[in-house]
Amino acid sequence: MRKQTKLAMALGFLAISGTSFGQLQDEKNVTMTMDLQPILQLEMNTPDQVDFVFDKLGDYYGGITKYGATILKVNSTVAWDLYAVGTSNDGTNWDKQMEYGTGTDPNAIDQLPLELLEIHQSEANASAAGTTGFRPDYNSAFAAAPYTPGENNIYASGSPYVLPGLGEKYIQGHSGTANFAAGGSYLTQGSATNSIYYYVIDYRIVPGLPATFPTAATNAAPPVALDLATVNGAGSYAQPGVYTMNVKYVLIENQ
Amino acid sequence: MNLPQPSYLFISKLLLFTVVSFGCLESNAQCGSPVTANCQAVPSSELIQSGNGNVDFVFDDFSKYNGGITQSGTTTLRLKVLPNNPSCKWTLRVYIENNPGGGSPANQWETLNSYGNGTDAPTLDLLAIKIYNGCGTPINSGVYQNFAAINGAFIDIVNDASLIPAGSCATNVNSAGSYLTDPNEYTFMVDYRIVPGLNFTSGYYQVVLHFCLVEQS
Repeated sequence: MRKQTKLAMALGFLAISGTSFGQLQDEKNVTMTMDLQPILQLEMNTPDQVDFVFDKLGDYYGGITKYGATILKVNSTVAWDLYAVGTSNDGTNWDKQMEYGTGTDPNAIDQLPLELLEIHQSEANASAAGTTGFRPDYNSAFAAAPYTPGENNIYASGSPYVLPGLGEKYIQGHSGTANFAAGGSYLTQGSATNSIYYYVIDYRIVPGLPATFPTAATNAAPPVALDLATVNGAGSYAQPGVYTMNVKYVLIENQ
Repeated sequence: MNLPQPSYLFISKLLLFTVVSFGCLESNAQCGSPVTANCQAVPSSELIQSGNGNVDFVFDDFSKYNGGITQSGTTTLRLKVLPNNPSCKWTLRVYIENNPGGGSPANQWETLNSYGNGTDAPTLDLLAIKIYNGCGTPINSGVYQNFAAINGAFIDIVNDASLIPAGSCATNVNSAGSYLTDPNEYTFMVDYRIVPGLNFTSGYYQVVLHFCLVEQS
């Protein structure tokens, strides 16, 4: 048996003739690893607080627009979505910080919907197929009266980190994995006037007179009006005072 | 009619040994297999590698993604080739391997860990190497070369059918010689560069580079 085993090994060597252990052949190895870490960077240039002070009749009628108040710049190595969300303590209305006057008039309403804030983005959303809302983004120009409610009204939510659905507005990309912007950077792709990685954001509030916020509406198709007269009845108007809300810009990997 | 049992055992052993032997050769087929013995074998002749056996590229900043990362002088190869006769000549080659047995697609790095979404692992042609020495003996000395995007793709460092003698300080010096006596011809520095761009899925990936010193027959 042992002789047969040795013979088998010898024949095996012959079968692969051409190689000899006496010939020069040496090998050294280097292991290369590559760690591609995901990067999502949103740079924002904006004042800490954007104030709208309505102390003139013309401001009530024509509203106040803050052009270029926020600049957004995106760097991303992964596919991404970007959305804006207006939020507050209750996620529905502006937070009332101070009330002017007695506030005893039942028509003076201090529940001001977050959607009364309008925003405008400089570049259109290039990836919003299959969306069901009135508008997929905030790219419509601010319209003069008569207003078209729903065009630019901010998406509002008490859960700002829950992704908006197909019926809401995104700045870029949208709900679902099919709608996204590819990885890239404002540094290398496009210019400041033509890049989905660079946005100039304008804000507008139009109280009207009486102050009912006639542009306020949801993004449903068709939009549901949220102006104070429609929601609270004819004769309603905004209670004078100081109100605040928070706008978050959320950059997230496509999902 | 029944054959005697030992005959089956013999044939089985023969086949098994032959298959295993071929398998061992096939694993480094990209290095080539010498059929002559004009040079002395290991350990009289040898390929000495210094530097870290693991080279890590960590892309954690956007500028690194765009501009890439270069690791210079990370690997140094030193050769000592002793002759059996004056016809001794050799080749030096590097090939890339992505552990295809682990299921890696033929054109991609082996995925050790994937971050987030996506399935686009980086392709093998991302890796570029630059090989050089004092005399510029490597083919394309001092020039970054990318591997082809296929497992087993190789780049010849020194390969010439003619015998180029040591001391000539020319491309493809491939005679017997040593880094001790001709350091500018028998020492090779290797730089690595990766510029990933933004097209690939985030994750942790790996390949192995095999440097082969083989007698040229």
